[in-house]
Amino acid sequence: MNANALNLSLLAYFLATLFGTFHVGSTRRLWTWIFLGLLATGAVLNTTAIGLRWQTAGRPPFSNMFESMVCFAWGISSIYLILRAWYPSSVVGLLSSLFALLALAFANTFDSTIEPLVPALQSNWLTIHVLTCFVGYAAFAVACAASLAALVGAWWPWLAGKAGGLDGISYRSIALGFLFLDVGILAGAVWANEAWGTYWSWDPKETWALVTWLIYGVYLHGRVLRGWSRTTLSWISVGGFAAVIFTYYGVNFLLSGLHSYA
Amino acid sequence: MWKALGSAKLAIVLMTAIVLASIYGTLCPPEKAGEMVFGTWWFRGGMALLCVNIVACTLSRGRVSMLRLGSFLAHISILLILGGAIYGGFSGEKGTLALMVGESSDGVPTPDGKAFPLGFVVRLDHFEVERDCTPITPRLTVSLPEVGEVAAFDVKEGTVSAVPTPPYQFTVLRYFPDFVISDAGPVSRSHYPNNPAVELLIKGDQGENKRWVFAKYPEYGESHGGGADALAFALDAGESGRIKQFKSRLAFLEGEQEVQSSEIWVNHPARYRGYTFYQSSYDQERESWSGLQVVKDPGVPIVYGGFAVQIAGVVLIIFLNPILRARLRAGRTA
Repeated sequence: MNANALNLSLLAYFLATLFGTFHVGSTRRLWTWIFLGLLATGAVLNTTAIGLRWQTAGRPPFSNMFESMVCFAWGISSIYLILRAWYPSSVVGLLSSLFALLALAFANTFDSTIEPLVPALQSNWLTIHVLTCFVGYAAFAVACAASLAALVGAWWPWLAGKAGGLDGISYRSIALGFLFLDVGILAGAVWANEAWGTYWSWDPKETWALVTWLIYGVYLHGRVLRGWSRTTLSWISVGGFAAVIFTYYGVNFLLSGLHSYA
Repeated sequence: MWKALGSAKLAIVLMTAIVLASIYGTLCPPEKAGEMVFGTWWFRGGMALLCVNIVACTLSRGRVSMLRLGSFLAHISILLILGGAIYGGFSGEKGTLALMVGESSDGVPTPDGKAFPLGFVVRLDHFEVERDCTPITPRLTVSLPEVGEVAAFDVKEGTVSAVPTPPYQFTVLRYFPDFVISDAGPVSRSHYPNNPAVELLIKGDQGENKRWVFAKYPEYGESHGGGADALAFALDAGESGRIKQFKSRLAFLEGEQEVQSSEIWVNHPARYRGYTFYQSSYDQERESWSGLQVVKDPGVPIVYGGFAVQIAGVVLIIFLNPILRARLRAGRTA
């Protein structure tokens, strides 16, 4: 049941990405509704898959690469669908749908066996820490989609016309992601203090989360206080998302530390 | 000078420098990252300069309006967090203690080879590693060379099993799922099959003798047996399973009197007289000792206060400021 929901969700994201291309290339509202319907269906099925796994495992499904990737895909599609109410950009929709599709497809390359939690992860802080971090990461993914569209749009005016308020989407997504990452890092610090008696150890995962937080801090200061150009801000947003990917994925495989089970 | 110290430009330069230094720190060997980057005077100096920048920036902006409240709180929180960390670093204590069951200590060794006194005594009353495993009835198989299996029976104390040709009789004397030798002789450390062992009484043509059979060391009995050397034994007691949790029961004593007893496990520490005792490790080879992290950090409440103020500040910036700005714009238009 869980696998079925996940496969159907993958199919919905794939079709959403396909119809999203028509949505960008056409002015007909029909494509918009088909695209949104498919993306929303994917998000609902993704939510169902997470809920079913939670029920089966008897614990929050956020403890390994497979589970966190599924959560990441869910976050990307959900955040975009929420932000779309204010910023209806077809290009960002297409890229967000593509990111959700890639995240879910990548999740399928990892072992999906349900394993009991190791002692260090047996805490109520697991849900708060991981969920807030991944909602933050997902918001940064949507911001990266908007920033990529802005950078390409600078050379390709036709695309810029389809973009619709890219600066606003980037800023709102990054502000939202910054809040969630902030809560995620602080919740992780409280958890670490409950588990090991130290709230900060300069563990590679912690340090890279701080690096990511600081990069987006530079973005927010540069935008609000310094009035940096949209191109500069877009590059920082893309760089920030590269740091997110390294914090999430690269650190697990390249650097050892307290989060080596993640 | 004061204006330059409180500028957004300096804040961005400092944040970028801290980002680059932190990335370098994660590329250093983990055990040397502290002395190469995070504990160096220049890294701490950069953090201190960021604090000065925040103070100068905050003071130079004058009165804190509703619109600036979020920004004020978000920046002040960084001072609280770093201030709490510095206070805890200077006035706190941290060390690790390895105790065997029954052992007690009134001091805790620190990583630099010293120790700090607790002012009371902590004693380890019980330690257990819990595992995920499905218990099975252990089964013993007896075989002879060139004949193969001659007997197989469940291992229960008192069970007698006989083999007609050649005539042998096996009696199960004792069974230990987690065999260890204590001062009182063989005992079972837990009910998990970590080191299953059975003691047999073997009666044969050449008399009788006792023999230990270990599931994990089948060759042991062959070299220590009596007259039944030709026999081979295989003990199957199931898998010990993956570790679910490890728990210690601690007693806190003032003089000779026990005043508190607490069970601790990972993510569930015990607190006594300002010290927190964490279940941090254990002897993974023999499960003979329990590793405790002992911490006294009076800076934690300040740090946690900083966390709360920071979240409140960022929430105000993101959700309240746009509403206030919209009202201001509407007011100007009207």
